[in-house]
Amino acid sequence: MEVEQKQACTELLELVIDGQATQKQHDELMGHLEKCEECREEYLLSKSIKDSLKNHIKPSTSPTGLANSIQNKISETAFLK
Amino acid sequence: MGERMSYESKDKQRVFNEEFMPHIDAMYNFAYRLTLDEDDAKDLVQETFMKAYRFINSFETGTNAKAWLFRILKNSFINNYRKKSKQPNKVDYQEVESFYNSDSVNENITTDLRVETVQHLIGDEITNALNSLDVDFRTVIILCDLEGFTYEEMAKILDIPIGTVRSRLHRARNLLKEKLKQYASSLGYKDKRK
Ligand SMILES: [Zn+2]
Repeated sequence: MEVEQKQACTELLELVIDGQATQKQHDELMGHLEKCEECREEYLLSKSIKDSLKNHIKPSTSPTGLANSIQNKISETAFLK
Repeated sequence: MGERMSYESKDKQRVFNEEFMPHIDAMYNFAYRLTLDEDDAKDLVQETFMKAYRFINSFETGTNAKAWLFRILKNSFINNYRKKSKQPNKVDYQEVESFYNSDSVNENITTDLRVETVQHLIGDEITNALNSLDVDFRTVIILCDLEGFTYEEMAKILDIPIGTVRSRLHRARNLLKEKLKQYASSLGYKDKRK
């Protein structure tokens, strides 16, 4: 594949994976993936990495007391004014 | 767009509680992933909320509070922690406006990292790979993949053009793939020894 075309593909691919492609761009990529194994593999790999990040790195809740201590400080600040 | 008025004191507290406080967990997670230290993360979140309160008049009700707070947090992080480090601008990577200009696109990174391998990696390996990235690269992956911000929101949070967001993200992902590949091959090595 031509380097230039490959770049365009990767750019499109990232837009789709990041959920920021238009319908037209999405369809364009899907059409291309049917024909191009190289991009299909790249798409699946990038998608699996994105999914792994989301699935494995779960958000934690903020430590106990942090919200309270912030709100106390804010009340103090507001009161002082 | 609309006229910006300064809030009355009691409105300030209301906006603060209704629009800012709900993001405390996301803020803490972001802070922790930047600093990789629980105490530093707490301090950073606290400082961010204090600044948010102080500058509350520059926040427009109804706009994206989360992105606004993330921006403050990121700036505080840079001010506090970058300065402390001996090499303030260690990452002197060249960022280009064009999507790729680097040779990374020609590197055949995908050849020996397979989808099945990625799926077999455990949480610690994914986390370590992410944490091993330089903070600027780590940040774009956190914002995009973990927090789900759009490129446009990221551009605002990071004060960089969208083109730079995209090229930085692309490079960050290639670096992450490299790291994952290293884990995968070390796993393969272990398997063989069994
Ligand atoms: Zn292709």
